Amino acid sequence: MRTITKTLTRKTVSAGLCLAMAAALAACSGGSNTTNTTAAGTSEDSSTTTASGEQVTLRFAFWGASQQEVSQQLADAFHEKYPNITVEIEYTPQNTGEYWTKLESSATGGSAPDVFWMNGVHADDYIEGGMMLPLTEMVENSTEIDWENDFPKTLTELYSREGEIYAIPKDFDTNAVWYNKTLFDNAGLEYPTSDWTWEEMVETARKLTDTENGIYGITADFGGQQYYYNTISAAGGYILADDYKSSGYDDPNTIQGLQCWVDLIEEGLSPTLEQMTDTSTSTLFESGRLAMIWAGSWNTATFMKNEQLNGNVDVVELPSFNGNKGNCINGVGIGVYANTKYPEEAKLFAEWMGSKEGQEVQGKSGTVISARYDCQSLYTKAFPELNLQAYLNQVDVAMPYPCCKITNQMLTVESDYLKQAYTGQLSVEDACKAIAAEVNPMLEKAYQ
Amino acid sequence: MIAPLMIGLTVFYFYPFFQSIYMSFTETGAFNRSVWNGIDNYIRLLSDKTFFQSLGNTFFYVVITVPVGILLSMILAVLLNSKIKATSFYRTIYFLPSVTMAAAISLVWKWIYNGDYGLLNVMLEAIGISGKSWLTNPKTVMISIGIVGIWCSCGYNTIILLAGLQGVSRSYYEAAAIDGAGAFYQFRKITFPLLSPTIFFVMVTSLINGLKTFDMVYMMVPTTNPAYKQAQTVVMYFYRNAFDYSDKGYASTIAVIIFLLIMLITIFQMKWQKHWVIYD
Repeated sequence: MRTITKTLTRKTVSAGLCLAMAAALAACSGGSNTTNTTAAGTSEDSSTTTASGEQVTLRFAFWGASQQEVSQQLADAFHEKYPNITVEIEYTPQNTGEYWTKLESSATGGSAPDVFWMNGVHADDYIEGGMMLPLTEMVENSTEIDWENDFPKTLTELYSREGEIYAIPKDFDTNAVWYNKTLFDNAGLEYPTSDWTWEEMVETARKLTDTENGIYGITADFGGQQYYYNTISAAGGYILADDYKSSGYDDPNTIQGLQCWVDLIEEGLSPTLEQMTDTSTSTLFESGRLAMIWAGSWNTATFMKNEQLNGNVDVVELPSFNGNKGNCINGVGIGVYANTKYPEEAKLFAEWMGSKEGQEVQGKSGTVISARYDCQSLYTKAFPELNLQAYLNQVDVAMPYPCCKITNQMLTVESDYLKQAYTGQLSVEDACKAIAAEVNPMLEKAYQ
Repeated sequence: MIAPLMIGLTVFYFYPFFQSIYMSFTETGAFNRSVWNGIDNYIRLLSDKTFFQSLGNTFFYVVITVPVGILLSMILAVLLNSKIKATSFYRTIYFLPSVTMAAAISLVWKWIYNGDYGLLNVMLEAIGISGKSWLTNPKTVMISIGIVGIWCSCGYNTIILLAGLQGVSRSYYEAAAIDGAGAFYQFRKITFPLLSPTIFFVMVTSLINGLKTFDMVYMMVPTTNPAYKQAQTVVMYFYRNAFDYSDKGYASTIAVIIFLLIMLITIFQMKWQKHWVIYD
């Protein structure tokens, strides 16, 4: 060590100085270049105070890992239209809630991004906390957005409170079943069609499951949005009552919509919850060990990037359950930070994100289904070889993702007891009753 | 001269410390909207089963990691202190986990413990034992994490103990050897007493670190894990309340209780050291 240090000293120092100087130069040239939109920093350089042509940099926060590229494209396209406004994108992952931790801390500290993604679960907190700028006036005067007719009602309701609009619907997601054609071919089975039933799906899974080779027919993964909320919706159950004052966990139909998944695990058609915790079901599917997977529409881009899957998979509608179709719909909105330095520019960006022009850019990327009716079908065109229409067919019957003032607490209770049902420690019925017994008083208190 | 230090301490330690104590008596939601509610949070804490379970989990973690960890570090330190070749190589190897990010460690160990494809089970199968899913079984989850915890902290403790060992003069051992004392007797009568201040330091810091365990468990055990309840440490429960439920008042109450517990345990250790720690 010592000898190396000695011999390298002079050389390293001079080399280091050269590097530092080069970096400084690069930084200078980057700084003077106003069209530079790629830098995702935190600087808010408002250079001049002249009224209309003022150079403004907006910060735009989001959590979609597969949407980093399209977010940059959106920022660039917006900048092209409004050259004086630069949008810097800020990506924060959301696997275990980091996005919300960061957004909340920065909003409390007064330095939140000017424009950010919002979802139904957090909307109440942010609106009541006065963190979101009302966009009602902008929407009413907008020539780009027709609030009533451009977006599905489920999505506009997520972000409206007492006549005020707080976010512009950006996209929505529903669920469908992806299947691995090779595994179907190997088993000599026909591909499923949109008129299939839950029983047919179970029967197919039975034929596809091959425990010796570690291949499963289906997974009963532990999650509401992509799994049991869909069957609960089809079975006629519910999670939240219309007045939010009670829950529907102990409703017999809800129990039915949950029992069917636990049955899959008990029969061995799905890996156990322990196995699925160790190895995620999307990993199983991507490595060809899983024949069918229920998946939200946002997975498409990720699945299609996988070489093993590309050309080897297709999509089909969720099977009907007790003769009914069901689904679960959720959507992201574009919100504006209440204390932004540039409310007008930020509103302009939010408006543009909801305009046909903006949602077309997004739709063409195939990452999500654009919220606007006139852009929804773009999603199906991004990968014409897939039957992505399956995601659009059940929008009308879909149950909105359950959102209330205490969603996170409610979901913790839900997950605590359902885990015990999934691992066989509790019957589904007992678990559901226990959830209702705990959640109902919480809801009553929150909605007094 | 100490102004920069004091400013830093005030901003990052003293102010948050007193703010936490204040917040523990309030109901504070998202964006710091708070209402004074006296000792309500403390009353709620007393009947909170999840809190006591997470406290129990944390103590279990401390009990399995601290004694074994210190013992292992001591053995390693004594070995590294002996005249073997390539000691700096071994020191580097043992110290590496201490400078590795918890996130990277968690990812690798998650894979090692994987029930279906994990390295550990592959090795166990080779000798005829069929392993299980270590991180999802309520009985094995804390022990599995404890092993990683020991692996992580061992190197750091070893380096400190090694420094202590090198301060012990060789002449004591020579004298003892002439009088016919064996290796174990030498350790008990010379090494241990002279090393006791260092051991004491290692023990206090290990206990504090053990009680504050958060990052590794947080990353290795997601909330969907069926063994989550048995693995949630008290700091994880604090974090969930503060950032998942936006219940910052109650979270502060938990933080204050953790602080008091650590303080009590440390005071006890300070008193107890008179009986076994020998200063020159």
